[in-house]
Amino acid sequence: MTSTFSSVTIKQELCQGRMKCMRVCPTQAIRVKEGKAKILQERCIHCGECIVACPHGAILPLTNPFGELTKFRYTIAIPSPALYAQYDRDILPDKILDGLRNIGFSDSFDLAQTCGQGSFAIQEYLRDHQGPKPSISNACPVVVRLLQVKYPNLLSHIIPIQTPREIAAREIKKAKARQYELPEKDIGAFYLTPCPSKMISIQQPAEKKKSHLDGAIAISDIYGPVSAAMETVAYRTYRKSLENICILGIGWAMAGGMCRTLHLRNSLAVSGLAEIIKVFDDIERGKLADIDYIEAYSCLQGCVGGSLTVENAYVSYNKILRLIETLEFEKIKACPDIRAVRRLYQDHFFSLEAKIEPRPIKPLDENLIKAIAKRKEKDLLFESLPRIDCGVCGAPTCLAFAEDVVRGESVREDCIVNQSGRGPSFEARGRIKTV
Amino acid sequence: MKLRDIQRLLQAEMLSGTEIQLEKDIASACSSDLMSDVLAFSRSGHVLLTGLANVQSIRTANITGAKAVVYVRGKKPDAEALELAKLKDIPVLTTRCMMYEACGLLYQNGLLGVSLLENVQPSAEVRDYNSFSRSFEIAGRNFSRGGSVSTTIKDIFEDIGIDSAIIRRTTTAAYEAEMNVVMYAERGEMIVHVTPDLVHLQLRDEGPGIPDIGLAMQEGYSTATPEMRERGFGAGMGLPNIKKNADRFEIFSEVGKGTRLEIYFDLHPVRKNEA
Repeated sequence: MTSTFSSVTIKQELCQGRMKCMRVCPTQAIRVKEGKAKILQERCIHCGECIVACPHGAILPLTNPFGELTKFRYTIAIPSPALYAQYDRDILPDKILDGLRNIGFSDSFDLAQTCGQGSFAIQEYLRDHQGPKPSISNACPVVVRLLQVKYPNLLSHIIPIQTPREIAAREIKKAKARQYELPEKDIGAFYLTPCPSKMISIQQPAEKKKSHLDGAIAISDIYGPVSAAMETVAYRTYRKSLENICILGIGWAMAGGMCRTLHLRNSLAVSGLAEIIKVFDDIERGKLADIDYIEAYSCLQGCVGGSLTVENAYVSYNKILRLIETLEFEKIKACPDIRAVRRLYQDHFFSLEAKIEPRPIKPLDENLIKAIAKRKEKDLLFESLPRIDCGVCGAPTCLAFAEDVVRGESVREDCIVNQSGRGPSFEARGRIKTV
Repeated sequence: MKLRDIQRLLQAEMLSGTEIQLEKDIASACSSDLMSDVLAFSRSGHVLLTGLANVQSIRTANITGAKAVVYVRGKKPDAEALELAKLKDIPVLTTRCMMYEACGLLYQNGLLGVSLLENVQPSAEVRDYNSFSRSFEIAGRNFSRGGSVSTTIKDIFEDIGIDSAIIRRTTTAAYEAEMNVVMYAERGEMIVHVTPDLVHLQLRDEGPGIPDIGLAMQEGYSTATPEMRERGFGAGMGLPNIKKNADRFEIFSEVGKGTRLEIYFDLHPVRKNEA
């Protein structure tokens, strides 16, 4: 088994064992043992639901602290377009980018431009696409990870187009290295992320190559400093600022933004893991083959709904939408040149650099015969359980508990029903203190 | 174990016998080319596996009360032997498996034989019949629950560690079959059966039945109502799609009573490669 890296960490001293994270986890990747939550890395898809659910702030995203900037001689901030939706409506992207320069980045880069290129590249790819339909967007790392873990059959549906954040980092580092005659390793490209999952896609990309980004900083960590730093930014007229916005790219911050700009006949925008799972189930059963493209985001409303954002997801969604509408109304199209993108596309500028491999959850046993026997045992054990999913055993459901026992990770006696009359062992686990 | 299971496990061809005979229960097996050994040691109700393809094998089977004869290594009995088998009503099958492989497959799947040693016990796994079975109720006309059985089945296959490409085929077939019950029948049942060599899905429903199976198997033929079409079904691809995804597919239907589907998927690596 390859080692897996976690995008979140649980601070043991803050964890009260209240199991909120365990109940909210969509892949049942959390167990509460001896009163403390633990993450089963193999199952984790880094969606960040647990971070939001924890009432004690014990679950922290493993993003880079702001101080990491000092490791590099030259630093570039590459903010997710979701950052633009965090501020008031009259604050437009170029002001925010200036604010980022003011707080200590050597430069900042408008990712929306690369997203715009990405939109054209996807259009190019889909035009000649002959493979399985629908194609699935790879913008959300949680979706990619979900496919690797739960739907290995659908990996061939993922578009083989590199994400804009990676392309932007790759190109800008090249350009700055030339401009300042610096080795590329002295240039740090930092993604300003709306969610913890981007961190893992940097630390351990799905396609097992090295990321071009050097780290991710939470939007929530940078929101305050940037707000303050924007006060000294030189004034520009609203119209002038609008003219710098790429209408194609700005939409990448919200669910449906990509589909809207791609002008595909038949595309779907899905957000929220539960909905995504329904859609992927349908694709796996051979339905939805008439759909060309699926844009899927683990967070409701898309990246604006990420767990590391500041503004309410619905408000920021609306902001991006209004911005797109304004640009449409004003007929402003500060977009990349489509012919240039087509040339780059032919030169594999946008190609994913390696293949995305499946990472299915381990079966109950590597040996098929033993796995069948264990599956039977799991059913039998489940029948004997109370089936009320109380969670006292430390597993989210009785079925998950039965599986843990069969896998040898729990013992039957951990179930409160199986230990009636055996109070002391329950106390010994430190969850209920005797008076 | 039913003779049908033996046929499936060994991918055997039936040379003589009827569909009904495949439902016979087989209690044990005996394999030998020496008919005297069979006469001496076999138990009544067994299946005889042999490479001896002449009339003697059928005679021995008849005397020892064998329920079926399976010829290994692709051997076929001569005309005289087949004639006698028909006369004595003994089903005759032939498999491409070698004797050792055929015995191994059946033993591994829980079909035991006679042992002369006191303490020979099959391993716990073999004793356990090595198979997983579970039955699921399917509520007819309940579109909102439609597909839930296939989803559960997928989880089971993942637990067991079945190859993901096979999981996709099985769940697609299971889903189509489940939705057929949901759309047309009052109620139905899906039985999932997994052995180390195959996945067997059996669907029985209490529904209107299919008057013309040949027609129903044609792509694009559908009797779906507008309501079903609104929900994205009724393109006439259901049964053909099951057939396309399965390694073997059988359908039995009686108008006014119901329909039974038998869907098989091979897990056996050797045979999978041959296919």
